[in-house]
Amino acid sequence: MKELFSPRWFKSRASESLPDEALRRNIERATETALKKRADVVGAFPEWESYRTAARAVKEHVLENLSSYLASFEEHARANGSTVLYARDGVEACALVMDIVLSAGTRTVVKSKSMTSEEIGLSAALGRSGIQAVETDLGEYIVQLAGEPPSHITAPALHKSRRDIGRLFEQKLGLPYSDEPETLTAVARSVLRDRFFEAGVGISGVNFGLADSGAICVVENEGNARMATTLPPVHIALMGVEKLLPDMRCLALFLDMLARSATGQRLSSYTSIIRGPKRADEWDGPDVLYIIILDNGRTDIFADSRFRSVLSCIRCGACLNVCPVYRVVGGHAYGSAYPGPIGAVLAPFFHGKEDGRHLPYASSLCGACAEICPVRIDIPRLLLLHRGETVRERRAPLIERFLMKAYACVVKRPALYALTGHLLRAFAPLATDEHGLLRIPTRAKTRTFPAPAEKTFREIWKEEGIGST
Amino acid sequence: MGAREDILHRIRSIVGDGPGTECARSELQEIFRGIPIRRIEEVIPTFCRHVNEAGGETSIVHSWAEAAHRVRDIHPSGPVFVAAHPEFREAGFSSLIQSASGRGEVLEVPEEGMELQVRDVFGSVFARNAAGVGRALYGFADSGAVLLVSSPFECRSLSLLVATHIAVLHESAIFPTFADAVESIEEYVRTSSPGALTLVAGPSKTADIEKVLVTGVHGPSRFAVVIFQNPPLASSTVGGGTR
Repeated sequence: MKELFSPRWFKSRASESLPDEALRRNIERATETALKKRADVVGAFPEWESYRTAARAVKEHVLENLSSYLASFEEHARANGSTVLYARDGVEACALVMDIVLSAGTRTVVKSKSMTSEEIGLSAALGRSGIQAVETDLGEYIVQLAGEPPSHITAPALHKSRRDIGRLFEQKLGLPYSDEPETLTAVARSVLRDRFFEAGVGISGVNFGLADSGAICVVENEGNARMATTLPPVHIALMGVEKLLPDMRCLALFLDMLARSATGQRLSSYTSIIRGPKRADEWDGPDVLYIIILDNGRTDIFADSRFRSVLSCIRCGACLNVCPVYRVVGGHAYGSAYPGPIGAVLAPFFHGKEDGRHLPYASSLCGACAEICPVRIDIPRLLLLHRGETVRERRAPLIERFLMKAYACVVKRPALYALTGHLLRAFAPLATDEHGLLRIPTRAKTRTFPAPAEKTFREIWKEEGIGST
Repeated sequence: MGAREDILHRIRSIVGDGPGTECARSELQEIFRGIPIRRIEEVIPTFCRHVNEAGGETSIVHSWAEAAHRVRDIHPSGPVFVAAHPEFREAGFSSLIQSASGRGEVLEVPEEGMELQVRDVFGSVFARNAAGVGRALYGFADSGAVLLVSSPFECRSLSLLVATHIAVLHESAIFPTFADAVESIEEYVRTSSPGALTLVAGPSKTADIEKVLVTGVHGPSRFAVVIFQNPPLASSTVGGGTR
């Protein structure tokens, strides 16, 4: 059962990855670089804080007017010649894609990076029907070759060293070993170039949909999304229902924030604003464009006003880079397409309350994610809300429920509280050495339990009186 | 109920139909009033600096002949594909590039009555060492990006399936920010209705392997902007110089 990629196994997977120092080095290098570059460009952007406020306000405004913006998007997209389809969940979305691919009569599909497609397991679904869905983003290509899911929202292979990738290419592609990033990239370029030409369908995600024009916007650095949306005769764009923006002025605002937050660039190399299929007098581009609008639990989040803000997320991945938990356990431990703090908020919605409840505990609630979030999502507060729900619904482990009950019982009774304090004080020395009775969680194995103060607070209070310090 | 009706119904049951477009528009206005205007000093030098920082290169030219030489400086050997813009043709740009010193064929793409599919031209081994010379509608100083538009005169592959992409841009079409150009872009879209608009900032790049920057992943490994200072480009078909 443990092979199953699910948040249910967070604890055991996290303890597996904790001793992996190579993994930690890889993650640290990647996240540190991203954070440093981000700090540089954000530091040179004095309007940043007011942009964050505005970006969040725009997202809230869109959600409050979602039915009219959606209607407008659909109307304009259709007028531009795109076909707009809806999918209630991942199964429906995969079925729609499958139908299109089969009627296009192709066996090869090229994909550019799309978190939404990871969320619904699209590649696997296509694979089961004998259709080869080739990931074309370099990082995604690497993890696909390795048979692994991505471990980061914007840098899917960040957990791998150049040596890991060199060995992988040697094994899977039968090439002489090299660990030079330039050489490895050139290999991927040449293998994938042929795929782009052979594919009958290209699949992309959508970063933003523009309600006033029916256009979709795809942001990337490598050019693979441009290829996947230009070369195959059919383009399928998979868009979460919350991805709309009113117009291009709003797009300008979000473009200023997305790349800065994600990779520390002012703007990504390529931002494609696709207004529909190729025009009659144009020379290249897809003949047909399908836009699949996906719900898959989003309207459930929408219906719960406490969690609605999480739909503002632009998937920049900054909260992962800054998260002390993500940085030590890595993305795979989360067992979800969306790892890290934002993934922990989404998990109970995307994986169900039983499996998803583990991730909101994968946080120290330090608040770094809320501080860095370009759309000011208060992630720690949302994690606490999830935790509260888990407790109220009695899903927490028995031992935890018992201890919390006991704690509540003690703190409500002053005499009992004082007595317990004295007892713990008396027994504390047993916990301070390595043979102690109290077991401290794995992470703290190398630390010693602090010795309690000589006197309790109440004793000091009594002795020194109010007001003296 | 179908998926569409079901999803729309769910959304409507949560927020209703919304307060209407007029109200929504004024609410947006209000949000944007809270943002300070970004000021970019020295637009052209800033643009050049940011193109460079994004991994691209810039040069300023004053005539088509100079632009043609610049193209050959950047791409001294190997084929050159030149977009079929009326103003390129008017100026005889491809012949000028042909006569500039350098090795490799110069081809106008798409050619009139072209039999081959664009994908055949650019899918060939021939194209792998080619430069694509096209137009950029606008440039943006704060990001160092240029805006490309698909048109009957310029295909998307010209800036994508080549080793070097060279974009000719008019100096007066460089805006401080993308936000400053939104109205002009919308005007262009209303009149020309392109299938795609693409912002390009630097060459194709990745840092997926140990955060080491590698250029030329899928798209061009080199990106150059040739800024036309004076005289201005003639035609209005590309919308440059409308500011």
